[in-house]
Amino acid sequence: MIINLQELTALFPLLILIVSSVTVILSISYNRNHSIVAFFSIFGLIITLFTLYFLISIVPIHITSLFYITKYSILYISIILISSIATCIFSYSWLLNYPFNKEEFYLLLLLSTLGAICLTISSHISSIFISIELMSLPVFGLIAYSNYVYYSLEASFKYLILSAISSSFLLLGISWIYAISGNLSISSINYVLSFTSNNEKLVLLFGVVMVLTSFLFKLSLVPFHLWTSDIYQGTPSSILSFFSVSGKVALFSVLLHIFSYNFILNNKILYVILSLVSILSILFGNWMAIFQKNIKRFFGYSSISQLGYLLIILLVLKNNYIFSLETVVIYLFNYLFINISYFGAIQLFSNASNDIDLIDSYRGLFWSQPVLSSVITIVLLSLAGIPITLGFIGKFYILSMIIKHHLWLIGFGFLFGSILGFYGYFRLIINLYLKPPNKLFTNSKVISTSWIHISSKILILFSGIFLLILGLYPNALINLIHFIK
Amino acid sequence: MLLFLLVIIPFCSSFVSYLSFKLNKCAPRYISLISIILILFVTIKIWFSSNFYTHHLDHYPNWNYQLILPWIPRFGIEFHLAIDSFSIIMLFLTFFLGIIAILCAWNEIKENEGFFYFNFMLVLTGVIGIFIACDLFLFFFCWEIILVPMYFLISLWGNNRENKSSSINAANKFFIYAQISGLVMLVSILLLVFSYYQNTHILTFNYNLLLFNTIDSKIEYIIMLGFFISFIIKMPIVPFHGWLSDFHAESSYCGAVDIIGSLLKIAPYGLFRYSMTLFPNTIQKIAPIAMFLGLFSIFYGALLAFSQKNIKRLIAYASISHMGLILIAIYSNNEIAFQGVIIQIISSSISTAALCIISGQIYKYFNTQNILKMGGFWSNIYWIPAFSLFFALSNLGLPGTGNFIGEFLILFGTFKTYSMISIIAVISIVFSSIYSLYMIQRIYYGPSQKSCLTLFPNIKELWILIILMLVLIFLGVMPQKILNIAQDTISSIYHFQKEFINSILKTRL
Repeated sequence: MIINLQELTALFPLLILIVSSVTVILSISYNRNHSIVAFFSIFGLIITLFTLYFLISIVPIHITSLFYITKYSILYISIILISSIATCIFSYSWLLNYPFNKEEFYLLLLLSTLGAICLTISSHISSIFISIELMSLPVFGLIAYSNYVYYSLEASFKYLILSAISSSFLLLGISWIYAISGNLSISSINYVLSFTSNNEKLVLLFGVVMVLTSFLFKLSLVPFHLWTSDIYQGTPSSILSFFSVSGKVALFSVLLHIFSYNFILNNKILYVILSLVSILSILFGNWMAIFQKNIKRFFGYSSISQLGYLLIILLVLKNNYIFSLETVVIYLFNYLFINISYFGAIQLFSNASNDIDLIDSYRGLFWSQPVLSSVITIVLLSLAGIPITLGFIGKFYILSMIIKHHLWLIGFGFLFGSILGFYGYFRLIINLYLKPPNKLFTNSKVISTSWIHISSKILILFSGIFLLILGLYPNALINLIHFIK
Repeated sequence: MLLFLLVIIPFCSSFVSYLSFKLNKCAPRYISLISIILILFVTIKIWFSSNFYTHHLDHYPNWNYQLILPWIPRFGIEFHLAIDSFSIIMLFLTFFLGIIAILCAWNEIKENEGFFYFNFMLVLTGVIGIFIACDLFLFFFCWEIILVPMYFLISLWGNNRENKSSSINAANKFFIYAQISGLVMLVSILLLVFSYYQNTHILTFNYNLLLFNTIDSKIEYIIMLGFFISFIIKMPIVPFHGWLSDFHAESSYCGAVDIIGSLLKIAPYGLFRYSMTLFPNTIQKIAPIAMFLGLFSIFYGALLAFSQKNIKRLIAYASISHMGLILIAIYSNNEIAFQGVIIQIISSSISTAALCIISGQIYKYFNTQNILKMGGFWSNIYWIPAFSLFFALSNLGLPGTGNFIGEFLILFGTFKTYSMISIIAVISIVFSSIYSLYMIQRIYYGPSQKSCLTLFPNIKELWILIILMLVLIFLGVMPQKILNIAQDTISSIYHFQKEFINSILKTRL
């Protein structure tokens, strides 16, 4: 197989990530030094982010038959990288008090990032499968990293088993598809589907549904959502911002890629299934979020509904391709900033043994930590989609698509879901502003003012400000999308 | 530029007043008061430098000032502010009530003043934005933006200081109702914009362009219904009135929040400005339903006001009853009734605000809102009973007060087009006199239930009440001054709508 220089340039981010993970391995085996390893990995990730600039001029490009980089993949990759960088920064202070080996954490993170990036650009089912595995196997380790914490091991096992099941579904689906098409690249499936007889088409569609099932598992959409809240509860908050963003962004971009071919969207049954999944996810996610007492479980459920909103885009993809991709980017950037500041703020309250994750313990935070809780308020408003936040712009995009394409049933789901969501989010927001029940929490649990936390605080503040500024003036983000285009 | 100042001054002062709380406890209120006075001057400058009498009456819209800045060109959204005489009147009302609300809160809000004035000024910014927005997206943006600070104002400075859960519930109720209204409006705005886009291939949210839309009448009916529902939720009209009484009952005792509530007269404004002009072809189709809802809420509000034990709930139901009358007037398709709406909006806001201040005073002295526990207060307090008698009478439309002029113009105008409805609505005055007199009788007359020394009310509150009383009398004696200001906009809206109806009749023939 011959790769020319242009294709090699396109693979540059991946190569840099591989080099930096090898560097991390060597550094660990030579001498364990936490700060150096953290520095290497953050540095590698930032360099990778910068090399994306070289890709702008050469995309869209096919790299062998396995990878296909488009203009939008650059944005998705940058989202994944930013969330990894944020996770590294958050984890550094968390790992300082960690009693066991600290350095492997960064290795796992880098490998998982590598998998997520590969997944974002893969256009062949085999590369999709391998990237999914590469992405999720390190995550088991990350979730179980604080295995002395209550629920952590349980969460890791749960995710392990469910991920294995979803992978087996994926393999089953792939084999059904292969039985008919004889080729595994996504474009060929589209090609085959337009020529095969009806019976064969049914088999192929069964395969596609199986693949879709596995994806819905990973995206934690209804009806495969039951694992979400438990795993969110058991995972340390510094990892959650990565876990919640990178996997979902990567998987969603693959879904977008698959669905950009007409064969699926012209199919009535798949359309109905997708719209049902999206409506139920919106309603169920928002409904269950109302009853949560744990702040991480709450986010788990609300992420179900966020992904449900996002899934609506798939339904209108064939009518308005460019506009929907723009929507996805805006929505995912919103999701990224929300995750960084939400879990970053929780992480500031956590110590090595456990996170403070009961909603009640955040009562009255505003009166002791006004800046931090203002950021959390902005985040929650953005999740709810109130104006002057980026979340509202994303919601506006989605609603305008719903109305433009007359998806009335989904529109009703959207309205009801939003109203349920408002109740849930505002329960959290007002909790920040009430008088604290006892002075115990706010006085004893002062966030340590050491210099380690400063970088995390700056990151949280910046992502909160981004949510606000881009909500007031979304042109900056829209122009970025158009610039890359 | 002047228009930009109107939005930016209160917005900045909200942050400044929050930050200044750290320096000095009294600073936030001075800053908010000064900023309101500043924008009042700006408005006066706009008012004097614009000429209202040169416009053609049959031409709408005729803005005095416009400010257009690009905002989100992807959707054709502009930061487009515009002002005409109707907006100026609403702005003056906003500033007047805003100053009074600050004066009410002056010494009464003792906890977290910085955050209180922060929210307060944000609400005011949003309200000003609504009155001068000329872009439907901007209008919706401001419409939504006032909800969050309002939510905080109700839930954090609630009536009950020990247990916040009831005021949080009231705030949640308010917020969810308002959000339903907002979402319905967003959907209808988008539907309007995209239908316009389909016909003309111009994606715009500009009010001036959307005025001359030619969309399918079925879709227009749906959009119009959406606007109608979203506005009457905020008004509130009877099937959607659930939030208002809780809102009043649970909000802070000093009445500041209620006054903000009564300056939220954005729903009648929106009905007038948007529903009337954007959908001239279909607006009269819904008039019978609107009339029925209006009549129903007049009587329903009056009856429920009569049966309330909580004094603030009584005021809330009375204002529902007044809103019914305004709704009838808006859909009556008559110029005189339209002018009555202006007077009625102003005077009912002022009399409701005054009653809220009085109930706050009573709560401050006697620590109760329950009417059954009151009685014989006439001999216990100086001044207040006389004032409340005046405001109760003005609330029921005593000649000589603004409410009388408003009701008279509305009923007189409606009689020309819908005489039956006007006759039925006249009966409502009897009902409103029943609940007003009931309130006065139970609170101030009869045997004294509490034996305490006679109290002398706060001088500041007294002056506020005197000013409110003078304004109401001014409105009652010289309404023509106000009518002159708004005359051109009102009649141009009326003629604009008429023109459309006539042109359709012609094309049918």
